Parts: sequence; C-alpha cells; structure tokens
Amino acid sequence: MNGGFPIRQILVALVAIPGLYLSFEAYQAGNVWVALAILIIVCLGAFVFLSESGYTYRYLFPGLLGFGLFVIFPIAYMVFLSFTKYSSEHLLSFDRALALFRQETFPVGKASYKYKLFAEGNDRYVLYLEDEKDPAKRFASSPLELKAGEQPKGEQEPAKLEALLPGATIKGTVLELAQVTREKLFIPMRGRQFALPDDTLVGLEGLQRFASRQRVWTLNPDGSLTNSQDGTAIRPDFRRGYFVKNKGEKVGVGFRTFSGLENYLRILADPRIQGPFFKIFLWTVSFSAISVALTFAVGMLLAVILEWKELNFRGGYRTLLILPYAVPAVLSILIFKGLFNQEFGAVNEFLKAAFGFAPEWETNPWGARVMVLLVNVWLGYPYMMLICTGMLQSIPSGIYEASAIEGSNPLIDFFKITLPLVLPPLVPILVSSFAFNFNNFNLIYLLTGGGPKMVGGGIAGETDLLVNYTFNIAFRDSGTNYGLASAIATLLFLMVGFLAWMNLKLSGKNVKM
Amino acid sequence: MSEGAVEIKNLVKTYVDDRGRPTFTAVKNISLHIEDGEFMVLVGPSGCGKSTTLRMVAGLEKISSGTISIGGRVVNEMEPKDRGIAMVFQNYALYPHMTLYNNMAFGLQLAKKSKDFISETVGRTSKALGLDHMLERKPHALSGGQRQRVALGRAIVRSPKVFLFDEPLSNLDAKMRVQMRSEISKLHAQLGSTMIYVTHDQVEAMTMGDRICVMRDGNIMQVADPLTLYRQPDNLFVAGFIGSPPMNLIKGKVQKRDGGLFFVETAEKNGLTIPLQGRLESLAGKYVDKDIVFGVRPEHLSDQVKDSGHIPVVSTVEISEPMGSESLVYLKSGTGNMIARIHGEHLFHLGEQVTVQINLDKVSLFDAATENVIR
Amino acid sequence: MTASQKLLVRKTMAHAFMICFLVLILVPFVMVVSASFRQGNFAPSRLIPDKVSLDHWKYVFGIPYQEVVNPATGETRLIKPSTPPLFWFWNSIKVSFIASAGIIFLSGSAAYAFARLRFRFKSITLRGLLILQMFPMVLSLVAFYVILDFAGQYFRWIGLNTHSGLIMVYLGGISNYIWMIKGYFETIPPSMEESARIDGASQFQTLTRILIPISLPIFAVVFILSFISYMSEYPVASVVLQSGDNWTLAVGANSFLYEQEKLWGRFAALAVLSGVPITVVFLMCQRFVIGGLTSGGVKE
Repeated sequence: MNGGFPIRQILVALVAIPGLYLSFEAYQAGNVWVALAILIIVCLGAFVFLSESGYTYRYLFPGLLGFGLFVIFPIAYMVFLSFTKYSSEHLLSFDRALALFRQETFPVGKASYKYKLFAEGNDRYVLYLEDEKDPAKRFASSPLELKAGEQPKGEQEPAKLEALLPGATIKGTVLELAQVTREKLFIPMRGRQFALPDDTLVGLEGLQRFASRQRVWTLNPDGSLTNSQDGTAIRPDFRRGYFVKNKGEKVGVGFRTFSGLENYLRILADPRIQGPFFKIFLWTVSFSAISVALTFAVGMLLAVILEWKELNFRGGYRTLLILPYAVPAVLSILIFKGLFNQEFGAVNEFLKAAFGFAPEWETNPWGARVMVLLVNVWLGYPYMMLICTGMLQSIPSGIYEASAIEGSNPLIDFFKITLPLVLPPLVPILVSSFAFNFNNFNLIYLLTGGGPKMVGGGIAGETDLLVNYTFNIAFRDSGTNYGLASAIATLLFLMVGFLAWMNLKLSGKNVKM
Repeated sequence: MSEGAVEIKNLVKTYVDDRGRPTFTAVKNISLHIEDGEFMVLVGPSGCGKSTTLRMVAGLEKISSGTISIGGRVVNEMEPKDRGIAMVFQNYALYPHMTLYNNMAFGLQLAKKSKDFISETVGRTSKALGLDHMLERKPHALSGGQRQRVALGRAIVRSPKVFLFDEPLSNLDAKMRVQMRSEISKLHAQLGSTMIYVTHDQVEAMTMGDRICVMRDGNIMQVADPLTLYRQPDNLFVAGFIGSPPMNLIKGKVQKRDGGLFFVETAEKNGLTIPLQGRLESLAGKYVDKDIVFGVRPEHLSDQVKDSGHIPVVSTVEISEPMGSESLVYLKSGTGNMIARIHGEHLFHLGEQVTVQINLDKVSLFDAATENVIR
Repeated sequence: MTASQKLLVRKTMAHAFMICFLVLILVPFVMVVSASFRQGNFAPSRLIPDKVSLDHWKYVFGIPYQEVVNPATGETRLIKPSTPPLFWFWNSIKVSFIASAGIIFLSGSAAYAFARLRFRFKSITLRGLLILQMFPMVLSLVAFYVILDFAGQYFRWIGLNTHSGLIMVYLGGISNYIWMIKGYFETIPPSMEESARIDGASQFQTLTRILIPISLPIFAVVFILSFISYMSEYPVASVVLQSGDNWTLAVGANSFLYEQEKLWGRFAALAVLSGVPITVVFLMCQRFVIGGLTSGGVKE
C-alpha cells in the first residue's frame, strides 16, 4: 500500500516490543497465564495492524482493548471473586498460607552458634557460624542479600551453609555485633531460614547467637500437616478456607478458596446481610424512581415555560438554569454537604430564623433521604430540561394553533397534546436516567457517606445505595469481604444490565448494517 | 482497443449479514455489454439492482461472482480510483467542508498532480459549467442545480473513460431536471465518453439513453434502443414500465370461433372479443385456449373510422383529461379499462359512448404464463 | 379582563416563578463564594461574611500567610500548604484533557468501524458494549488495583499513584461515546466518502479528510462531556492516586472535609477557583453540548 517508508511496521514494533518485554517479565515472575494473555494480545495487535485482512479491526482494536482491560476484565474478575471466599480473613492464596505454616520453626536447643557477618558491599553479606562447644565446626554461607531493617519479601528456601575447612578464611569486612544491631541487620536475618550441610535448620536466637531450630509442621503426602512438637495433625478444609484440627477447630490464618454459591446464599439467607440488603434495595429503587420523576417534572416545567415565545429574557434564564449542570458535580455535592450541615449550615440557619425549626439532615434517616433527593433534583433537572426543550422544539407549532381554534387552553394543551407526544420518545432517556441514579455512587458517598447508620445494619447506612453498600463491604477498613461484595456487585450488574438491555429494545436503536 | 467499453459478465451480488449469512441477492447473474462512448441507461423500479450494478462497476460494492471489465481489463479487485471512472451521486456528495475549488481539485491533489495543472483543469472545467465566479464558496451556499454542476465538474476533471451517474437528477425540481438532462446529453456529445446512467424515471431513460437496460428484481428484462423498447417490448414488465400512460394490457384467452381466431377477455360477461387477423392470427395460432395478454398503446386507439386494419370497440368514457393537443380518455370497455390518447378536437363527457378503433398492426400479444412477448 | 391583560398577568407570574426558582438554585454558588472570603473554616452559613479575609485564597494559591491561633493573645502561626491546592486543579485538567483526547481517538475510531465497516458480530458487539458499561466503575476498583499494581511492577509510569495509570483506567469508559459518535456518523451520507474513494482517497483518508472534518461538532461534544465527567470523577482517582501532590481536584477537595476537621473556607476557595473556568467553558459550548445530548448520551 504505502510503498515508501514502512512507518506502520515501525510503529507496530515500537508498541509490540515493550509488550513482549512485559510478557517475558511476567513469565519470569511465574505468572504464566498473565504472560500468555499479554503475548496473545500483542500478537493479535501485530496481526491486525500488519495484515491486510485485519484491516477493519484496526479501528476497533485499541478501543476494544481498553474496554476489555478496564471494563470486561474487572467484571469477569468480580464474577470470579463472587464464587470465592476472599476477605480480610481469607486474604492469602492456599500456597502462601501453607508456606506460612512451613516457615514456623521452634528452637530445639541442641546446639548454639556464634555468628559473624562479613560485608561484601551492595547489601550483600556472608554469614559465618561457629559452634560454641566445638570451635572446629565452622560454616559459611554464600553471599546473601540482607536489606537493613527490611523483612525479605516472599518465601525463600532456607539458605545453605557450607562447612568451612580448617584454616579457610572469608573475604570481606567483619561487622561487630554492635554494628549489626545498629544497622538493624538482625531484622532481615530473622526473616530468613538457614540450613546446615546436614539439613538441620538454624535461626537467630535473640541478638547474639544462632541456635538449631526445627520446623513445627511437617508436610504429609496426603496434604495434612503434623505438629512435630505435640504430634497433632491439621489438614486444609477447602470448603471453609482454613486449616482445621480433627475436631474442626480452625488454626492460623485462612486462605482463599472456592465457595460456590455461598456468597449468593448469604445475601438471601443470612439475616445480617439480607436485612440491610433488601432495605437498601428498596431505598435504591425508590431513590432512582423519585429522582427521575422529580427531575423530569421540574425539567419539563422549566422547558415548557422557556418555550413560551412571549416571555422575555428566555436566553438568560436558560443559561442560569443550566449552571448546576455545568459546575463539576463533585464540587456541588460537597458545597451542599456544607449547606445542609445540621448545626452550622446555611439551610438550617435560614429555616431557624424564618420558621423556627431545624430538620435533622444528618441524624434522622428521613431528613437525610429528603436532603439527598433535594440535592439530586438540583443536580439533575438541567439535563432533563435540555432534553425536554429539544423534544418540545420538535413539535410543529401548527398543532397548538389548531387546538387554540378548537378552544383549548395551555393546561389542556400540555396534558392532551404535549405530554402524549413527547413521552414515548423520552422513555429510553428516563430509563437510562433511572439506571444512572441506581448507581449514583458519588452523590451518596460524598454527601452523606451513607449515613446515618442503619440500626443493627452493620456497615449499612440509611441512605446507602446498593453500589455504596457493596463498596463499603469491599473496601471499608473493618471486615472487608471481596467475595460477598463481588456477589452483590454481580447481582447489581444483572439488574442494571437488564435495564440497559430493555432500553435498547425500547429505544429501537437498531444497528444498521 | 475500445478503452471505454464496459463488459459485465454473469454478475451476482449477494448481501450477507454480520454473521456472514446471505440475506438477499440484489443482482442475479446479469451480463451486459456497453460500447465505448455509448450512453447506457439502467432503469427499473427501486430495488431492481440497477444502483447495485453501478456501484459494482464503480468498485464501491464487492462483487459476489462474475466479472466486470473496463476497456478490456478485469477490474474486480481494482481500487475505484484505478478503474478510470468518475461518479455523480444522487445527493451530489459534495464535501461540505471544502470550497468548490477544493471539491473539484480533491481527486487531482490526491493523485499528486502539479498545482498549475490542477488550477488550469479546475479553471477550465468550472468555466465551461458556469461556476468560475463562485469557486471560493462552500457547497451549502449553492442551489441544487449549482451543486449538481459542481458534482459534474468534479467528475469531468478526472477525465475518466467511463462516467457513472446514480440518479443524479432526482433531487432537482422539474424545471431544473429538464435543463440538466440536456446538459448531460450535451456533455456526452462533447466528451464522447462512455456513460452509465441509473434512473427510475423512464422519461429520463427514453430521452437520454443510446440504449436502455430495463431491470427488475436483479434481472435484466430487456436491453434495446429507446424506440425498440417502446415498440417491441420483450415482455409484460417492459411493456408496462416504459411509456406514459402505460400500454393497455388486457388478460384473456385465444379462442377458435367460426374458423377464425379471437381474443376473448377473461370476464363473467360482456368480455371484449377481438378478432385476431393477419399477423396476430399466426402469432396466436399456438395459443388456442391458452391465457394470453393483449397489449395496445393508448395512441393506437382512435375515435376515427379507419381502414381494415382497425377493429372497433364500443366503450364508455369514465374520465377525460384534455391536454390541448390531445386528450387522455379513460374508457370502460368490456369489463376492463383502457386509456386512449386521442386528438384533442373533441371534448369527451362522462358516460359518453365512444367507438374506438384498435390498430391491430401495433398490437403486441404476451404469453400470460411466461410474461414474454409472442413472436 | 381583556386578552392582553390576561397575557400580562401570566407573564408576570412566569417571571416571578423564574426569579424565585433561580434564587433557590443559585444560592449555593453565592454561599460558596462568600465562604471562601470569610475568616475561619466553618460551614457556609451567612450570605455576607462578617470578617473578610483572603487567607483561603492565599492557601489555595500556595502563598504562605499568618493564621491567628489564639484570638485572645493574637498569637499566629505561618500556614503554607505542602502542595498548593491549585496544583490539584492542574492535575485534574491534565488527566481529564489527556483522557478525553484518548477517548475521542478510541471511541471515534471504533465508531467509524461500527458505522461504516462490515465485520462479524457487529450488532452483538455494539449492544454488548452498552450493557457491559452499565457495570459501576466503582465496583471494578479491586480489579483496577490488581492491573495497575501488576503493570507498575514492570513499568513504573503506568502503575499505582501515577496519572498515566489513572488515564488508562479512564480510557475504558468509551461505549456511550461510541454510540454517540456512531449515531452522528450515520446521519452523514456515505456517498461523500464513496466519492472520495473514487477520487483516489484510501479508506483511511476518507476518514481523516472527509468524515472527521465533517463530524467535528460531535467530537467537540464528546470531548466536553467526557472532560467534565472526568473532572468530577472521585472514587477511582481516590484509590489510584495515593500521594497528595498527585491528587486530582475531586480527591483534593474532598480531603479538606475530614470527618474530624472540615476546612470549609479552603474548600470554598478551591471550589470557586476551579469551578468557574470549567463552568465558563461549558456555557460557551452550550449550543454544541445541547445538540449532542439530544442525540442520545447520558451525562455521568
């Protein structure tokens, strides 16, 4: 096609090479599936942009890639999580949890060793041990990385110590014990295990010496662990996500595991979840419905007035009326948070001065709900007004002239002519507005934070929408539960997805070929 | 080599939906030869495949099967720009964000022609079309006729071997249309290039085409020069489509009575009975007791008594449309209706009895089953 | 009453209604302006501040000033923000601008494919885009975190706590815009591009030289709408951006309003300073935006 300089090929290479690098790095780090996914994406991209037969997809690839990564993948990930136990109690993967057990050691006290560290520079050190009873037994490690004051990341195999021949010396500068203490080198040493040539483990005991240690848990071929101190055995219970003793008592931290439909059943059956869930669901639906109805009513009223040709300053009015739509919503919401402040806010100052009463916008559930709705109407009516104006302008004025001749008045005109004409084409917009409010996270999060707290509802608040409730379950500090949150999110998505699907049918947005 | 000749062979266009399933076939295996320098009109009702055919010649639609050659070269896989064609669209398709000059120069600029060459060519063409004083305007500031001229100009500057027109006049008002019609005809005479012209308007087809290709449902019904098409339609469709008002078509049977052949209208009672003599008798010989369609053009019905070639039919006037030089008279004769084009010396009144003479020399008979003319 | 008297009454009533309504609507703006000039950090309550002070404005611009700690003794201390809050506004503009430009590029090219090209499963893909986008972005935060954390291990500049990472996440939200642009493309007769094809343009040239110049209005609308929505985006930014000098306006503004200490004055000054330019730009582009809205997009 472009016979000259292969610009396209060079661009593809420029993008593909870092991609391949990322894939390779991921593979090195052991994330085989991630590496494969990246590799596939890079190859697909290269094919689409280099081959003539992929031409159509050149326009789609970047957009769909972003969409896939930041919309579809999160959804798939959430749906996957919803079938797992994954929470603050079940944070680690099974392998990590097992490794934690395997790292547990206890001193067996048979032998103890003096130690020295030889610095080799670049945070690398050689550990030297000498048996306190038999100075001829000397051992040294190969150079190790020890970062002062830092626990080593991840699990590592015990570092091997080799026996030193008599008379052999070690290069590097010796560190005094005081220096080891001062530079906090004991911290990384404690985080590691060391093994003598005969595979007995040694570990730092206090600050001064190494002592031989033994693993608490030995791994049996059937996957269970036996305690070498008291002989009891534990085994992983993959259903509950814990290691358990024979009688079923759980031991140590939990791990992530598949839980099937458990999270979903909890939403339906567990009174601690189910109670707030249905209450919140009801509020979410009412909030969305009332918001749509009110914004539509106000927007339509204003649009009708602004369409009245006899009225002066219509342009000025319209510009001012659009303001709430033009100002970034975050700022407006936070402004209202201040205005509706129960004690010092302007709204209550005014109400107190004028009518002598001050509603509890923050502590009373109904007060908070009314406030949320008021603010949402303020935020939402301009959009409806703009849409309705567009609709009204599309009605030919001849209809009103005809009805005037037949003796109509403005009120009859509105209800018998205008509304029936504009309502059907507005239905899709009302539905999508409903869906938008159904997930109006920002408003609630910034305005009330869900408050006031629901009595006996745990972290649920009286003004929480489902999406806020889910967010709280997943991310609020106490008792984060990703699995449960994902299950609710999945249900939420099904509901809103259904709305969107219905909307597509309603609006007849036919896909033209 | 005749470099403007267009050869269409076994051309098929089948549309597929977005899962690759065939949905419908717009062009069903047509073959057509267009001579170098010929003005060929493709005509037919909407959905007959004429535009699709033109767009395949232009390279805007993929060809499902068959071949198209221009100047002896198969162009199936060729880019539109390499086919040596130019096209004028129904909605003019002027680039709204460009001035007239740039509209016309766009193709030449893309072809990396020199600036001087471009301004010379555009200047000459715009002058010829009377657009030279508005080259800096944008399309929205022009009238429909002017836009049409710009579209023509844009086609001309490409100096193509073949001009393609896709209903170019249908967005113009009646007067403008007549004017542009003659301008395009003049242009054809001047340039001598091959032109393929798609229209649904049979008047345009008749007045402009060297030859006319009548299409229906993706098939070619007849290809002929305008007069042949009018006088000797190959089938019922062409007979009904060409001519305004259309040919009178009466369904009936051939019957043998008193040793002669008669056309008898299909009717409960009072059906027309017309003796088939001479040429018609030999044609109808094979169709005794079979369904045929009797066709006669309105101008071959006359209210004057003529010689032996004419058959009188008694009929009643239903509507009469006097047009000055002639009158269109809607007649009820037998059970059916006929239209007669009669000299306008006499005003006809509703319910008046008229005896019209059918000129049997000009009558066509069609096989009702195959819809083809009987020869 | 005569007809003209009736009209006059009606007009007066309409004006009265409009003015009352506007007062109600506009009071919050006035309050916030007044709060920004008031001494102290109380919730906005009075229309006209009793003590006018420019402290909050100085703070927002990062100009050091003396704050009275103890009114009785007149003891003061020097206040200087570590990150001038104006910087957050700049961050927001930067992120929103680049993300919106990216959105235009991604959704525009995809919309072109959907409107003009043929490919398999087109209608299903198109519907799927719209339905999947209904999943609230907030709840995808876990996954965003995982992705950015992973990418950041290898490429620091797209990891957590980077603007480029945040922009990448924002680029996922294209489906509404694809629908909007596609709807606009479909109102443009394809014959212009076909004509350009015959004139010798490649398919890519028909897009860049014909379709895009004609469709500039819809691109303006998409740009403005996405810009505003990203200026307002809070939850994702608050999770991705961790350090104060990286915050966007939404995160920074909210940071003034802790549960324990609500710094209304500073917030108000920041709100006015950043709200005004955006509002002015929006109002200037009003005509565009209104036209675009009626072609079927929802502001988020």
